[in-house]
Amino acid sequence: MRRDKDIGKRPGKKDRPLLAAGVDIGNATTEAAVAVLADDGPVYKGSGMSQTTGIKGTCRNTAGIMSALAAALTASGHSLTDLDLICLNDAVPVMGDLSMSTISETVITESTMIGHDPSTPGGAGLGSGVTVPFSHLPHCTAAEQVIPVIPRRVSFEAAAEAINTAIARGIKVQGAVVQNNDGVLIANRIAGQIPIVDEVGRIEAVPLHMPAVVEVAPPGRRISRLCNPYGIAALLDLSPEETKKIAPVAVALIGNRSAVVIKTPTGDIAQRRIPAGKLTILGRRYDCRVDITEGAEKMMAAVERLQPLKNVFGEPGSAVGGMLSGIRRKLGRATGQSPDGISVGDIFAVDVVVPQKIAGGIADEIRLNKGIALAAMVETDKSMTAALVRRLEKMLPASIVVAGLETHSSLLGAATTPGVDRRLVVVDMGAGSVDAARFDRSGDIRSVHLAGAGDLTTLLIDSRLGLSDRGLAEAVKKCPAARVNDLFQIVLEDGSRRVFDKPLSGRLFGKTVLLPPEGEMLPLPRRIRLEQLSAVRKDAKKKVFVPNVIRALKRILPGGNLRSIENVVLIGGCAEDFELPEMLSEVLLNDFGIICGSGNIRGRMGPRNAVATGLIISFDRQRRKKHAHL
Amino acid sequence: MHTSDNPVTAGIPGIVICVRQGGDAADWVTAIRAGIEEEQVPCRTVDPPSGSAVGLEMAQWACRQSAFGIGIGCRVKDGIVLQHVKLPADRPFVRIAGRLCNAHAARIVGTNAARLVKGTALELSKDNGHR
Repeated sequence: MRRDKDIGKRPGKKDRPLLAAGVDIGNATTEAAVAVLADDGPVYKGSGMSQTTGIKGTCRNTAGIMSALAAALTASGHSLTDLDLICLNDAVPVMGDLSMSTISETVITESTMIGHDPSTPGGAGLGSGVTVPFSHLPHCTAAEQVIPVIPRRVSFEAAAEAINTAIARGIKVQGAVVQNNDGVLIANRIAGQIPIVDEVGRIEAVPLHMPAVVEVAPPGRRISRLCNPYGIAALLDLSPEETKKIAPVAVALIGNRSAVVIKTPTGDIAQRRIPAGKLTILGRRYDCRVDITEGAEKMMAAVERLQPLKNVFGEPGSAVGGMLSGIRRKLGRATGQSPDGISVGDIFAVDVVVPQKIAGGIADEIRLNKGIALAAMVETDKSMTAALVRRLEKMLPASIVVAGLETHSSLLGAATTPGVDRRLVVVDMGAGSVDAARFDRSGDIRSVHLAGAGDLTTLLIDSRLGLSDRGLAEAVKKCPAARVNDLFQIVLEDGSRRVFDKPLSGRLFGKTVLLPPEGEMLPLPRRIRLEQLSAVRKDAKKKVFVPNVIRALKRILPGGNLRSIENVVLIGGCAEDFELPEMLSEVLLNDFGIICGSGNIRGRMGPRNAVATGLIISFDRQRRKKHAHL
Repeated sequence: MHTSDNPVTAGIPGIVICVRQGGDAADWVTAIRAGIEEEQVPCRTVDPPSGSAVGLEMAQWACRQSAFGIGIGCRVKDGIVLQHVKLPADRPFVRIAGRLCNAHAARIVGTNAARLVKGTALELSKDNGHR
């Protein structure tokens, strides 16, 4: 590592002021600022941003650093060879990772229900009878109550004709289960009205010659009998013991427009509880064990009670044990440490509801299962920064300087926001952590890094909407949404409309779409409604950021008293969010009388670039101090 | 003008299918009507405006007759054309060439015509001719 005194002594560079870059490596983004260190202070020339490569604080960050630097240098009209020095943070002290696991699961051991929402089931009403293969219909006897099961190869005309013939023969056809999307077509062609459930994918899995009930609600309504265990009991003549067994089926059918329940001799549906395990939280003075099934609230109460934490362990062989050891393994691999040696400094838990396909379902039935999402913060080996500096020095002609703590830099950078005073409190909301910092009366810095921020929010959105696509979930988090219900207009979240002069693509029609600031609209899977998306997105942000920002402020304020401050400046990528700063402002003002707002670094960068800017300021101050002493 | 109205839907606003009576596109029309019916949207068929009208002109004519502004032109030589009244005449919403038409494709055109009326997501695949 080159020393400060060597900087600027390279041939040919003596007679002009130094060109310095500040580089801030975040969990998701690497930011750079370039400035000329003039006699009267830094003159900023440009800034740049790039995706962080590898885990924050490791040697794999170099690619991200290089591209952020290149962007900042291009913006400032310079090249890499012009750069005299690069300021980095002093050791990356914390890293975060997250994991999620479901703690309950719905399993059907033998098919007993079909509960899905075909777009257009046929007919309406309730019917109970015995399931029979379609080919068996002509052999049924008069007065027999049957529910034919109609496979794909049977056309709607043939199905309707056979049902009509059967009805004419006195057979009581009570309903039908159909594989094709032909429910309405069949219903329109038969005498009388029966409920018909269509689009049943795995029709071959429907148990035959078993008592069954079919229910279809009229358009705009939901089923009312099959989602009630006693309703099912009355229809299928169940004993109290059998009714108890069927209860999870009824619950799984709530909210459907159509459903079929079949009574099988050995059939069972169970909500299996996966052993979630206990979490052992080691504080400095006390330890505590919390059962995950008690929920995130209980867990977080224990975490807060035991502050500051020494370490956290999960019960081996349980869901939480697996989650924590996964986080340790991943970070251990990235930092070259043994997973056992990694200590967890903070943990943040959120209860989640995860839509999951029911194992053993017939028509891709979905059940909402309980889960828990965890974000953990671990202390990393400080030597990692030294390794990164060595790597950068080999690649770049400029000197690499470690110019101060991240929290110090963020305070210095945030202080360039017009209108803030020197006693500012900063909350940095990034992808991996929520950090808070302030100068105390003696000028020392009080700071904290807490687990759970933007990435956890994305994880919650991804799981709740069942997207299984982190990129799309990230877009859901960042973009307002709309619904396309016309070729030329969209309905926005507030109910207003936007009209287009060109027709929208058929790919978007009838769907909920995301509206990125630039580029084309992004369609979401057709099952996701606009109101649902909007509620899930807001809820995820509220669940993660509101408690974490309050937690962070409590830790850095004397006596944990939030009422002792008046202003908070929000910085970091998540402070750029289109709704989060307002959400936090509302809570902090209403509950604690705190005015908070997004920073505007250097009066022009918005809440971004605070640390990169602060690093340059920090270095410049140190340099001046040194010159003043000489 | 009405030639083969569904007795249930005659006289009420619906999707209009323009097809020459007795022509050999009858199978496609049956499938298109099934697609529309399954979505519970009314439809009716009309004769083409002239004997020489091609598929595109038939669809254009049909959508102007429809209270929903959605029309389908059907001619064996030209295939199936689905048009929305607000779209440019030469750029229909769906156009499937005659050689690619079959009952399955025709049924999806019917489904999508109805979904354009209802504002629900369309059935899309590479071969169903969407713009």
